Amino acid sequence: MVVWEPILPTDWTPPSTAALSRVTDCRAIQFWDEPHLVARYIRDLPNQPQPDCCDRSGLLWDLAVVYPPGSLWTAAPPPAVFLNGAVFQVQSALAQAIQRSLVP
Amino acid sequence: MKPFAKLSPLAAVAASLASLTCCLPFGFLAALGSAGAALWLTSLRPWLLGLSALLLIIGFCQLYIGRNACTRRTRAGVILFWTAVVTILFLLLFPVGLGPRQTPAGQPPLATLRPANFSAFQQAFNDAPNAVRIVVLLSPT
Repeated sequence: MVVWEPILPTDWTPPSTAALSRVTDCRAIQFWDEPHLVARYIRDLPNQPQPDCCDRSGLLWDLAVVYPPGSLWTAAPPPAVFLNGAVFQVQSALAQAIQRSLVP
Repeated sequence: MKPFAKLSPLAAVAASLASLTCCLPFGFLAALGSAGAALWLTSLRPWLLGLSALLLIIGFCQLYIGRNACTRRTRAGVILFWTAVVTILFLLLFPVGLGPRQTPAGQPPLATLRPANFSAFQQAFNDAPNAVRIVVLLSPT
């Protein structure tokens, strides 16, 4: 799930086709989250991994979060097994977290 | 993409020098070029658009303010400058503000989240409870 949110001064409209096309996996679902709802939900959940970066004026961004099988998002998000960024810098850690989550 | 990346800094330097040395058409064309490159080099987009704006500002100053260095203001230079302004504004607005927002084939359309419809996100998240879910937060530009 890809959540685009306005962070930089140039983010004054939803992502363009060029930006959306960076995520080609057909399983992906892309959202435009102008009010930063997802970022706030994730930030406000206690007892979860703390990111090394990715906080801009209290808003989380450039961040990848992994949820294991069985997780359900109800009134609040479920606990994450991985939460870190910047996305391009944590690719190997992200892959390891996904692998660990796949092991029963 | 790689040759582009190698040429871009050289083009930027050449463009700046061209503008500073009164080669106005080259400066305007470089401004257009860097704005056009910003369409493709999305990671460098803010810098390239900034370069375009800087080149246009320099060009404007040379055309209309302090004409000591470049004493002749030709009609062609004026037309080229304003053509560059209009074109760059179009390039700025089209991909970001006015262009289509099409997700890749096989994906559902881009969904806009609001407090009133946040359940759509929850629903999408909960639709595959037995799978690993990855949520990525990104900035469009």
